[in-house]
Amino acid sequence: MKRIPIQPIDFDLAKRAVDEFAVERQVPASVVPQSTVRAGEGQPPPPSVPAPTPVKTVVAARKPQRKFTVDLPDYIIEAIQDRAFKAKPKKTARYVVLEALQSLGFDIQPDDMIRDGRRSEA
Amino acid sequence: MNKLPLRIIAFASPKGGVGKSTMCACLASVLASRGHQVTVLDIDQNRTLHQWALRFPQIQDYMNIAPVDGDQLIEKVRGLYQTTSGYLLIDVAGAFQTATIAAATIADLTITPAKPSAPDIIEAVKLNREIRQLAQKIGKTIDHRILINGVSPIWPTYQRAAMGEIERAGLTRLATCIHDRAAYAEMFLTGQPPHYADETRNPIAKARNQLDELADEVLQIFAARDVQEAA
Repeated sequence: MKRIPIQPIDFDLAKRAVDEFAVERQVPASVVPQSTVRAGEGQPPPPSVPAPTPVKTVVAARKPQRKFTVDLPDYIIEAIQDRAFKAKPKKTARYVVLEALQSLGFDIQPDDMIRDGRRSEA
Repeated sequence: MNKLPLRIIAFASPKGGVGKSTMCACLASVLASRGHQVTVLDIDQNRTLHQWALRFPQIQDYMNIAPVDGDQLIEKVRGLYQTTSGYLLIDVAGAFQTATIAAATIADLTITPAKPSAPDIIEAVKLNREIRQLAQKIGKTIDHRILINGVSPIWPTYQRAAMGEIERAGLTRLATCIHDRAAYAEMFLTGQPPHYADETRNPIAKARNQLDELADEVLQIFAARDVQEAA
């Protein structure tokens, strides 16, 4: 096993070294974007956010769904499946159909757009 | 003074999404579950772990997670070093910036999580180069190790190739590899890292076993140093 003895920290030296190294190597300073400036830091979470309860699984409960069968020409079905298969990453045929409906102006909620049915999109 | 020195472990990578916060929180919770005093400093500007602790206050029952600005890190640790013992874990932002250097400079062990994929490994190699130069400059050995996570248990070819790349690049990696498990993602939804979750669930039990291996390995690194120091 690689062994390195524990060395006491000289904090003043560390500070100087970090500053010098940062200048030499043009390392950017730590940046705190305004959008993430301590939302709720040091304070309890905002009251509008309900206290979360522990969940048993990561898969969100699905909304009610129903089968809707339509007869389509073979070449259309093949084109849908082909597009789903060739997409990177792959999509489900259902996703391709929903995308098409969305482009026609149907209002489809984002959490119903599940790209890969085997995995939760959460 | 009988107080054991504070052991500092930094989780740093120039790349985001490699599992720094997850592995930091997991290792912290394993150490806490073993009765150690654990403090986590969240210097990631996204405040992932601090927000997690705010959302699930029960986490603060067994470890203290505090947000710190990167440019205040050294002063904050200086203060803790005098007053605190146990383990201090630092979750660094996924970028190469002064806070990354500061964390590596003061840490006893710097861990870079990386998935077995080329982009993660390339960034780990870059950080290792910088750390080596930094170590040379400050005349201190910086123990920097790669933690491979998101591993597939069937060891596909790309994964074996990635391991080969790590070796060829001369990086030191921890022997423990962390598998890709839902238990790690779940903890951010439930507030329960594997060691504080339902261990009767098989995925949790498996995650716990791997995290125990990781904690044992990290503690062995420190124990070996203590022996060497005492000799």
